[in-house]
Amino acid sequence: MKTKRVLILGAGAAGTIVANKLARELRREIAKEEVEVAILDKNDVNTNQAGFTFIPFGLYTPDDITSPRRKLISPRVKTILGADGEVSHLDLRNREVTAKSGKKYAYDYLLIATGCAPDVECVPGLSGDFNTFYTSLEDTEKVGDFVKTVEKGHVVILTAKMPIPCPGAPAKFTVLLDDHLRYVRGEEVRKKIKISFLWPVEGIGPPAYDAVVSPVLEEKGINVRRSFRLSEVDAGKKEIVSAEGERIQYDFLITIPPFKSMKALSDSGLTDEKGWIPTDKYTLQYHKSPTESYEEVYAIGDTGPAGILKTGIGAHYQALVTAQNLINDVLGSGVKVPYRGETGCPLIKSSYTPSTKGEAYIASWTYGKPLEAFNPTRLGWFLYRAYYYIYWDTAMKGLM
Amino acid sequence: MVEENMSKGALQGVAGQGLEGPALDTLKDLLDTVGILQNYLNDQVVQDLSKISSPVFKLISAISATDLVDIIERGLQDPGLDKALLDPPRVGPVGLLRALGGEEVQRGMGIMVELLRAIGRASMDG
Repeated sequence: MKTKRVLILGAGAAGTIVANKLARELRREIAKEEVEVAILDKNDVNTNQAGFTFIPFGLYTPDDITSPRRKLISPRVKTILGADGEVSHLDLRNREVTAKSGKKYAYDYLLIATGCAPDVECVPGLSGDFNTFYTSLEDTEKVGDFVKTVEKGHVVILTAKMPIPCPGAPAKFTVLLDDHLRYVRGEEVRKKIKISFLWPVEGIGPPAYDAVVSPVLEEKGINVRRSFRLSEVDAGKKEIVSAEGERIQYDFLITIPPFKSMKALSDSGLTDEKGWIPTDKYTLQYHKSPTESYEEVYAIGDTGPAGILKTGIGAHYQALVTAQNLINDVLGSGVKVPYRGETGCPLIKSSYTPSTKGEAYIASWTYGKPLEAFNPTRLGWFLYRAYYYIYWDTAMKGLM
Repeated sequence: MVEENMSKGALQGVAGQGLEGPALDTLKDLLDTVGILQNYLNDQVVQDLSKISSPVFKLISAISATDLVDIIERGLQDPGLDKALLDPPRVGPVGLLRALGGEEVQRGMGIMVELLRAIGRASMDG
């Protein structure tokens, strides 16, 4: 019997969950060499990127939000890291993936879970003054250095354009920043700092999310600018320039940059007109056009189409569904479990400081069921804090 | 104060839907007890509780992903084992050698040896 090969590109959250669920459910087939599950990634450390938001305030340590991939992925899975795991080209027609090292991998089923990449260069001038808590541990630790030392001035938190991964993170960061400056550094420091929140679209999340977060930001004295269309950053003059020509002076700029698909995907001609991997919104199978559809190819997580929100919660649910569909494909049941658009975004009303109790809520919704009105809770804060600690041994193992 | 009013309002809403008397008292007691838990927690307690729960999740992951558990489950319910546990036999060196010649023990040994090999490999993963 020919071995069926499942190839997973990307060992981030989505890819790891799928790999571990396949390893568990297909263990007998793997042992009999009827199935092979392989996963590729260019580096050997998994980072919980959602944790970046908390690092500048010391709420998690780098160790809390990182884990070696080989400790996370079941030994039943062929884990290929480094140059042999860095994807450089995909040929869906011939079911072949090429790594940077030149090594080629054939597959029967393919999962694209490569995440997305920041595109700093697409905003003129941004690279001249780029500070962010969105892209790497080093970058977010640099923002942490600033948070600990800033004394006065105008801090701007700028979201360049949608879509971005974890779209609730900029508001969460802003709440944490205000709390830190006000209650940890002290009210006298906070008084001398103006915080602006520039947001590229009108709503901050779904209407029910906006209805909670907007009063929180207002109460904290944050200057919120909605539908701000960024044109460029004049790093020399420390000015942000809008598409309408408005210039906003800043002293320290924290930017959530634009994001795009990984280069290997766009270079292979797989992206749609918006630059993302097109999929059926329910089955998550690759579907670019009626003539360019591949039932054996799935794409989940941040690399998916613009119409599917890029959240960790969404990636998690997509991974569970896709793993089941891959199991069904491999075992030949033909059953397709639909992704119903389960997604969500935690909201922080206040953090746990010497003067405030933490209050948060894990807001969630689906394609057909909009987010309903909610109130952040104290247990919600603790639940949120606990989740990132147990994340590695629960979510990443495909247990929940 | 606001929370207390909300809690009362919520309880009144529940009462309006037909839940009253002792059931309502039980619900209020439950909410007050959750309040004790909520007041007990802080960021450090949450971190410590989360971290000490990690090995439990590792065990759940391990036992939910191996057929060894199925074998152990059936083995522990084996009627022969039940009988032996009523009056455990004394096995000396000769008895052990004789047992090692039997197919059942050899298969069990095979599993144990493979398990030892797997643990050895896992310990070399770094």
